[in-house]
Amino acid sequence: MAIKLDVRGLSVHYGTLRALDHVNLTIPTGSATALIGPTGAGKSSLLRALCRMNELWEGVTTLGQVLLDDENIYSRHIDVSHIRRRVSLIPRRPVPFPLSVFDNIAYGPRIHGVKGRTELANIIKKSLEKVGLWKELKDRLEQRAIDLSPGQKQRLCVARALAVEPEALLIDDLASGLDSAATARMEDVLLNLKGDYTIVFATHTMQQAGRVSDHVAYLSEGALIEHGDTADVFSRPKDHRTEDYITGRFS
Amino acid sequence: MIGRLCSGGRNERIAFSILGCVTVISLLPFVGIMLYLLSCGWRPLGERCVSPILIGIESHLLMSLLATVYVMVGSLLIAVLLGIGVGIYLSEYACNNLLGKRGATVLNNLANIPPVLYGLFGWAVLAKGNKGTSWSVILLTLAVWMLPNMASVTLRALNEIPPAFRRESQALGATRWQTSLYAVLRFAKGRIISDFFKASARLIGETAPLLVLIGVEPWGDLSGSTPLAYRVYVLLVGHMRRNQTIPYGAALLLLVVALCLQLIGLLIEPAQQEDIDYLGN
Repeated sequence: MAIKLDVRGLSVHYGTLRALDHVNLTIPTGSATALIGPTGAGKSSLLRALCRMNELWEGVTTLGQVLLDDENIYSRHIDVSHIRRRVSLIPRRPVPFPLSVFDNIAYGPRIHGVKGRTELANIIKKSLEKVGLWKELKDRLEQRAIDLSPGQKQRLCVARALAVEPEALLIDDLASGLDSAATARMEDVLLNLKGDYTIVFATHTMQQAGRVSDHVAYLSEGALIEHGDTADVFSRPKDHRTEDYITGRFS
Repeated sequence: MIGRLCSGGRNERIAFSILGCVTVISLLPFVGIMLYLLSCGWRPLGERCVSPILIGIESHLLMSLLATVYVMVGSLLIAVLLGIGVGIYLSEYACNNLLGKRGATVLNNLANIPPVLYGLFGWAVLAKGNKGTSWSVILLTLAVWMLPNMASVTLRALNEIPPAFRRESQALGATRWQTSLYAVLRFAKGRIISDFFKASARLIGETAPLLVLIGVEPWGDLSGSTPLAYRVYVLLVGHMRRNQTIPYGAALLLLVVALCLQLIGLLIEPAQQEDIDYLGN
């Protein structure tokens, strides 16, 4: 199986605080990988490091390599904007711009040079269809995006990311602030996108990781404790810390 | 228990009533000044500004108003363009270095230096100590004085844009420049324009001490175009002892212009501001 992202000896520090400690992890192309672990385990830091978004935080130091299709994204000659276009991050609390639904999704394509209204309309239709929002919003494209429900906002932000045609999607805390119905719809979206995109998402819900992911990586205190097929890790964890976490003895 | 609650409620009502009275009392001087200027200034303003316009003859007050607009627009043009640049640089590019972190404080300090010191700078450096300075020296001095104010206004407006906007934009592959332009300046521009008008309303009245130093000669006789604030000053110094009413007209006109600028600033308050505040929380 082809590897989309290959993390090698990745360490991230915020000032003197160690967020990730020498993490090694491979993420296969077209798969969904769930990052699980308690709060402060380093899930968000790992996601941000996979697209160099961590550099936007003050005092961050990153050591090690992240290979995207065998190219180290931390090389000096790399165009960071290009990397972020290829590997798109949807943060824990997605923030739509105070614009219409149309302009929100058109933001990325316009930045990358798409100007024609018809071309933009096609991109928007395709992106909304992929996240299951087209039927709900096709007649409300000029509506303010911030008036949407939290679940719709999250899917809109995924659609906005898809509009720039990334190869990988990184989603920080899949169910953050969503009710069970909105979470289920979001899971459906990811199951549909899996295969076309490489997906890495952080979650606190074991059932969700079980339903959506092909692979699971358990992090604790900045270290990768265990990584493998979801079924294997959940049924036969190799490390007792993983077992404690997924069985709820420790959270 | 209920008695204590009632007592607490009564005490609260008394406390807020006192605070309400204090608020009204603190507004009284402003209302007093407005009414006094209105009562003393409306007649000279009508005689020396409105009537000449109606019958088509030259009005010194109108010329002063035009001169005010001229110097404000000229100097604001320079100050605004440079101020926006400084604000963007400090907010978006230098935010992690010492200059960026101390930028707001430095700008506030510069903006709070009394205008008379900028006038001294204009007279000593730009006019090389000569009286009878040119319009370009006056414009440049005013621009130098306004620059920290305008940069400060820009910086404040840009800092109101939630950091999440920047991150969302960069996560979509936008460069820092594109992010500054389309995800920051785009949403901050309404606030910047609105605040520029409000700042101009304040600055327009503070030009007099600066012009006293650098602009005495060209407008010394007050026959030509003299900015309003300076005209008020000269009229006060030269005419008040003779109990003339012209300064009241000039002062009233200055107040009306300043209030109009404030009103424009309030009217063009960005419609998106509530959304931005909501998203920022």
